[in-house]
Amino acid sequence: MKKYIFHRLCISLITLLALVTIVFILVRLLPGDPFISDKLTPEARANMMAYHGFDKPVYVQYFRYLGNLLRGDFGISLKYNNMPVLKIIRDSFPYSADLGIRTILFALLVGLPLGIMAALKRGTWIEYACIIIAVIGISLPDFVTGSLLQYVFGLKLKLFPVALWRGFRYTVLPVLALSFYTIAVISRLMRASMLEVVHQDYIKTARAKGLSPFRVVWRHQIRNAILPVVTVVGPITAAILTGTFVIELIYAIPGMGKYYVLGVQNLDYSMILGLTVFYGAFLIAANFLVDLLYGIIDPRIRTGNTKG
Amino acid sequence: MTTTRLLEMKDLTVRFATYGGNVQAVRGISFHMNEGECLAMVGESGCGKSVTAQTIMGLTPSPPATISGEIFFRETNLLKLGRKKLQALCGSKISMIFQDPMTYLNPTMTVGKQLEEVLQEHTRLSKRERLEKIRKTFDLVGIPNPEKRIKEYPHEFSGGMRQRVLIAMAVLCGPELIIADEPTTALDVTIQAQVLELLKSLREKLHTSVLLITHDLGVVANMADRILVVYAGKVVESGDADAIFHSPAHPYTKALLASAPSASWQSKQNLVSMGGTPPDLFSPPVGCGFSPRCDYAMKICREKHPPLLKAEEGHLGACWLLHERCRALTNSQGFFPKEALS
Amino acid sequence: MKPYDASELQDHMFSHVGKDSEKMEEILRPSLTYWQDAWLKLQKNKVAMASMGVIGLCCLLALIGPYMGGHDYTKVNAEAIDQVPSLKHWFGTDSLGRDLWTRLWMGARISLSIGFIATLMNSVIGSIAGGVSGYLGGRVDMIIMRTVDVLYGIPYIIIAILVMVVLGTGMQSLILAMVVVGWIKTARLVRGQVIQLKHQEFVLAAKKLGAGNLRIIFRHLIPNTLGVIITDLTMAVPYAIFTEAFLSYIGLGIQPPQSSWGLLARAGAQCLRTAPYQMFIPAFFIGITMLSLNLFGDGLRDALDPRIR
Repeated sequence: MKKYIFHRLCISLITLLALVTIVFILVRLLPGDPFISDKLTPEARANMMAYHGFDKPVYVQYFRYLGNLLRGDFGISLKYNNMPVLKIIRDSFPYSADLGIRTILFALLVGLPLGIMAALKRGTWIEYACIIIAVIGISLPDFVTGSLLQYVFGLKLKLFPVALWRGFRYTVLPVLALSFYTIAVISRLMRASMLEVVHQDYIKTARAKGLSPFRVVWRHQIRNAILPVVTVVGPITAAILTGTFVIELIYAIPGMGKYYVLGVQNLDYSMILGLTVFYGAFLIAANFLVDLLYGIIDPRIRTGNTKG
Repeated sequence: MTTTRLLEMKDLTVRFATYGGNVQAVRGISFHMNEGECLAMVGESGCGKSVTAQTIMGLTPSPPATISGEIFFRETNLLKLGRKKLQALCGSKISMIFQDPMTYLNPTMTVGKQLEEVLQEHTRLSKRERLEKIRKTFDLVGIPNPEKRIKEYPHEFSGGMRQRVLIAMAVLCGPELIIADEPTTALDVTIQAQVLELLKSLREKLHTSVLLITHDLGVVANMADRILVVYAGKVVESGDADAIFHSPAHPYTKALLASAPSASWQSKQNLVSMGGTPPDLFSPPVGCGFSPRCDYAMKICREKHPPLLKAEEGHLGACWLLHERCRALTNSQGFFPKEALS
Repeated sequence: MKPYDASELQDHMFSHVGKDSEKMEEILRPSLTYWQDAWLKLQKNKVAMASMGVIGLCCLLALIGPYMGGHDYTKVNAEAIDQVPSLKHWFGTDSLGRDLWTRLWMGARISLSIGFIATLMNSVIGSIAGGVSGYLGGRVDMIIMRTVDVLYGIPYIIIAILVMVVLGTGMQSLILAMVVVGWIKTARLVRGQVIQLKHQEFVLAAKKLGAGNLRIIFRHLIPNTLGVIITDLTMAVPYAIFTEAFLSYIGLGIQPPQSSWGLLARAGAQCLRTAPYQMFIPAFFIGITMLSLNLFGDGLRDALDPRIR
């Protein structure tokens, strides 16, 4: 187990370094010299120069850049009157995190039982309903679902508010829209996993032992079927994260995604770079945690000594 | 002295509906088992013996299978038993040992828990009593260090030890009948002997009957009291182990015995193999299933399936060679090799 | 067993016939090649066949659709702003008076071709990388795999966005952005498959019989990996279409006056309140295309899986 954690940690750190380096390289490739744009105040330009150290040799710039990041200095926004990116992150990330966490929890709460039901009640309308929901969920991009829900439930039926983030009622539509895809993925995977596990030999043993069907399903089937779903939580987090970009835009939620998209549209290079590194680091850390979680859950990795 | 019949199977047929059509896996198997005896079911892969065994335990899901016939465990017809009652029997009075201990144990559950749940389901023992029983059973099957091993996972055991765990699970509640489905097939040769010895000693200690399913004659020789030879979903020979080994009645059994390599052979002897393959069970043959591969086949063999006929007392074979007409004919006209009947 | 009536048994029936060498080895079901079997299975899958039809229809409309409406997709018409669907404009007009039917299908050309081209490139690059890596093993494998592991951890869309910011918008940069990190998934898949195959007996047999490396790769490894590659490809296309739509939606992808489905969705979202059809129509087509591709991919995967009969 320790070996496993160490290995995963190393890869994560190297990946982080690779990400940061790629961003560094791409900055140098930006068309023209964005810092000579006349939209910048002399102050802003001076800040950029200081931050990036354009007057120094490349390798010095690189280490200076790394140093900045380690100190938490992500640069200064070009558009928002020299506000440090870090402050933007601090102010807006909690909203995104709130949205994201609610989404994951909701998706698991709905997706897992859906997948389990679909697998247990094969051939019934329950299975078909689950499959249909799952297939539709995978096929509709989040910005489509977001707008759809906004239109139907917000504007036409006037059941829920369609903008801002001021209370529980405000969270309903965004979370629903954002979680649709994830629910589909989780339920499909869970169903497939359950169906694969049910053919495994140890299920036969469990039945031969005279265990009640409930016990067979709960302790033997679900316990094993859930393993593949854990491995997919990493990519799911990434999908939800990118989903927040558009959902926050559509529902005017003051989260980090909104700033990121606006930054991209306004070509606020500083902010784009800073937020990119932050997002990247966040996802790498999340993936690492998922790997850790999986290592704890799967006894084959937890104990690590496989014989025979 | 009458021995009580423990298990009686009457004309079991099992048919599977599959993508390619209907497979007649079991085409009318009947046999009985007495208390305390070891019956071996022998046959090639695909002959229907595993399906038969698993149907006894209710492990053949129907649909997609269609099952007919009767299986009596003492006075109860298992096929007509409600689910709950069948569950109560399986694991306690009738238990099963499977082939491959790696895949037949839940990889995410400790061995101790997997054993405990049998006791939780079938007994009212307290936690302490359960653990005590598990420890005793581990001693019985020869797993050292029970306290430590109870908390371990299947992948932390070696192959032979894992099989012992499966055996422990089977004997935990003191069953009257143990069905062993190819218990040694997935094991190394050296371990096989150990496991068989264990089964033998358990049989004696616990006075259980054993239904041994295997394709390996070597396994049978040491353990079985009686033997059932199965081919293409039907029983082709049944009788005492000695009788079958010394004077097999059915040509298939003869060929099986002849093709088994023996340690006493000279190195120059060729391996004898049976030609051909078993018949396709999608459209089962009308006559005797073995006849296309049989040296002694007769016209009637192709057209009608032979019933189980008597070779000697208590020794039956499903072969037309045993029919009195055939015996009468060959004795008088001799147009048949006499070896067929010797 | 039914007892036989003694009268049924006649002496001649006991005449000796011996072995039947034909029937002994009889195989009753015709053997099909892998691809024939897969095609048969696929045909039986009605959902997959229907999906294939829908995809075909979309492709067809992408080709001839723009000519059907009789309008020019860039023609701005101030008098015909925001019109609901009618006989003249089958899908209505957008906020600049452009005909939506034409814009939709011109957009289809771009969205679909980006989807297919990017996926194809990912597939080819990934297969080669994964195949070489898996087959050669050793140092080459280690280097490629370490790179893949590291790149895999970097979020795909983030990199795509970054590349777009650097390279500017447009179809070519979009495809490049998607390919830069997109080949990794295929590489892993193919490598795993090749490694598994490499150790199977038939490769060993071929080697013993004297086949060279190249022959082994082409005649043995690739055909067996094709199934996996094709399935992966089919499942990746909807994701590529989604990525294009996503990037265009946030303003980074295709720019007006060109048209893509993502761009149309974006424009539609802006006037959701007043002219919802402008959002729903492209949304519907994005959805149905991705749905069909997903369903078809599922069917294809099941058909190519030799275990499912």
